[in-house]
Amino acid sequence: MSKRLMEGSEAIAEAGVVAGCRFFAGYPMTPFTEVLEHFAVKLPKVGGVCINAESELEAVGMAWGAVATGNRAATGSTGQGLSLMQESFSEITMAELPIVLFNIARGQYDYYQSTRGGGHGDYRQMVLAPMDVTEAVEHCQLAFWLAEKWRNPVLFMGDYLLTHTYEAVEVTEIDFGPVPEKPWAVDGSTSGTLDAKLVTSLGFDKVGRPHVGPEAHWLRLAEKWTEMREQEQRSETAFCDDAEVVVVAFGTLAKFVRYVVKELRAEGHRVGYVRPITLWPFPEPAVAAAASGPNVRTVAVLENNAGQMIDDVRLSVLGRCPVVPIGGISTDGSGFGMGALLDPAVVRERILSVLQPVSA
Amino acid sequence: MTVTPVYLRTDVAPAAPSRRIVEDRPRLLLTDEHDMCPGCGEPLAVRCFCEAIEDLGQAHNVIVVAGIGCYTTFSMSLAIDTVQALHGRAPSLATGVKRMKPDTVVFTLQGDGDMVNEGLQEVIHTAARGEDITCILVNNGVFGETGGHMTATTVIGQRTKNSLDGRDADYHGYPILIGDMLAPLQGTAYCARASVHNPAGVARAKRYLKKAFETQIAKQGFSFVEILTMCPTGWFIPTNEGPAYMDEIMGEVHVTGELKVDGVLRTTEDLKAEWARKATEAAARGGGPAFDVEHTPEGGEV
Amino acid sequence: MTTHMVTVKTRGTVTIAIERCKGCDLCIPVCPPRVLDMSSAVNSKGFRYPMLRAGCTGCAACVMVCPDFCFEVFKYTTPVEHVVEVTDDIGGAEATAKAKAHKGGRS
Repeated sequence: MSKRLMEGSEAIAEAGVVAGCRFFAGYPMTPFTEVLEHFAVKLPKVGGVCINAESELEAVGMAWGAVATGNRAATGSTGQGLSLMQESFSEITMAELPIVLFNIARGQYDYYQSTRGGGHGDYRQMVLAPMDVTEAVEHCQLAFWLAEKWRNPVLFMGDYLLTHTYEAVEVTEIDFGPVPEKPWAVDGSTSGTLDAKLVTSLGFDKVGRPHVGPEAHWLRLAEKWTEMREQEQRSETAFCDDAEVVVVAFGTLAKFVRYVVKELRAEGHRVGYVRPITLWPFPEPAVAAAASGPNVRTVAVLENNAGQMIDDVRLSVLGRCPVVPIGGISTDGSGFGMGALLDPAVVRERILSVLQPVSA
Repeated sequence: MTVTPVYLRTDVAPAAPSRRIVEDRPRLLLTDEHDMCPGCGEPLAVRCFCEAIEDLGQAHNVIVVAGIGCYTTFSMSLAIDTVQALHGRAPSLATGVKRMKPDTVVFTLQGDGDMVNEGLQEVIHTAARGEDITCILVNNGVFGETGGHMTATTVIGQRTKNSLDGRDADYHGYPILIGDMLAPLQGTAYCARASVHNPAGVARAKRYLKKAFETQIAKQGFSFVEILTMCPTGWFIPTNEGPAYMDEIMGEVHVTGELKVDGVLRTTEDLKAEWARKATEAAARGGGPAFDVEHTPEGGEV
Repeated sequence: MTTHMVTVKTRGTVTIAIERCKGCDLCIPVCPPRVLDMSSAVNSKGFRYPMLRAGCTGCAACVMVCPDFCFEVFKYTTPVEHVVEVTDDIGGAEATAKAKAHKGGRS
């Protein structure tokens, strides 16, 4: 296998197919649309199905039905479209179905929506935030694996830059390890027997089986999320041992931070970064450790919105030092994507403003 | 001569040689208990599709996607692999299931509030796409589970919890006849409306359901059967008035018959005209409907 | 009115799970030979339930309309002859009046 120059959206779709995804449903919405286009081309070639649903609401419904049969299935949209899907996200999580969700976010990102859950009730979804196309190829496959490992939805967080950047990537199947069997999957063959199955979010089961009920069911799920939180945090920490300023950023913006921090280090500045890779579970210990460095004065949060991830950073830092936002709302004329902030010169200036504060 | 007591024993099978010709509950139900209201028509619809599935030999090859309503309790008691959907969402889940399991019979079970209110877009698009699934609508003209509120199929003049003076066209608008919206779509191969308020209606409902499932098995496209069910609770009437209410009020608007079969398309108005024609012909022959009140008991000898 | 004995040929019979019955009355008017009457006694849930007289044909109309799956239907190998005491009116005006009153739901 050799590397091929691919647009991010195609690489994501290719990675999904290689991961065994055989069903995708979506509704066109910028900047997610090309992911749908590529799945539409690739899935039929491997005997899969890609449906252009009548709205995002039905797209998630179709993926829900497909994943209930034990097949790997996914849906996606941008933040606005995911807003429409929230009721289903909550219910699918409660029904313990391993669906993969793609958010190709617009200019303000959707950190709150994806980590706090725009849906009702008490549920959690893992969120993976790749910084570039190479990582996206890995994370897409990882999403399908983690979803089945935990029987829980996993959300892949991308953006305009990620899906519309060309990179030379090699999309080959990654083996993350064994996944559990799926005795819960419905295929119609246990109909007409006492073993008929019920896939539901409420902790009910067919008559004659032990009654669990909503409370006991949701308590067990809460325990599962505690385990997920303990075991599945992923992050990247660099240059923090002697840092005076620690920058926290995720996704494509974080790649700019990496580049700038390396540049600043070469110039002698003591700056480091923590890049959360899982937005949920948020890598609290990693951020806390970085903020506890002997020289740390400030933790600076660079995100492309009015401040969402900064809440989790503050919770991780727990008052050890000030946590300041250095990002902000920045978008293009359409509101879909890249504004002035996605520029190494601008990122450098923002970090420097904390490294070398102008005295009053 | 031994005089038979007026009332016979009905607690045990008969002593005289006999054969049981009908079991009490359908085999595809795990229990005969349910907490539907007295006089509810939904269990009758459930019986019809259970028997249809068994008759077609599909009992081990069927998946149901259930919506949300009074009938949702059957998700737990049907011996059928079930995926529980949200209100209105069953057709999209069924689409995903069927696309992954194209040789399994997949059907939805939805009420009128679920399908015609919440999920109207969903069922129309599913039909338009010609998905090889069968959508079953149990229509009682109310949101039963929340207490009996008006839905898109509630008829003008019908009293419900939020139309206590009767549905008023000016204020509440007109009912939707979902069968008439689905039948003309090219993706719809079979579309019918039945009612379970009397034995003839029940027999028709089962017949239509069989045809619908056969349509699916033959991969001819989308099939739809609406089954009007009595809801004495939601209709504010005594249980024994359910059939009459169905006949005179619900059935006047939601007329039974096949709206699309073998490529022939009809409207509800056409069905109404057909019933009127049949009644005229029957009157002309001097015969009445099968269960006329003047019918004398068979076998009575004096 | 005088009473006399008649032999009623009965082709079938039913069992009725009276504890499951919710007293909806739907079976009463659909029985073609009109051999079901609602009890005056109630079951443990407080509902009246159907009782069976001679003359069942085993047509299973009751099964078709019973929402609570109370009926099982049997057909006799050889029709059973029940001897019942009847008024002269059986099958005639009285039954008709009774059925009509029942359809009106006011009895």
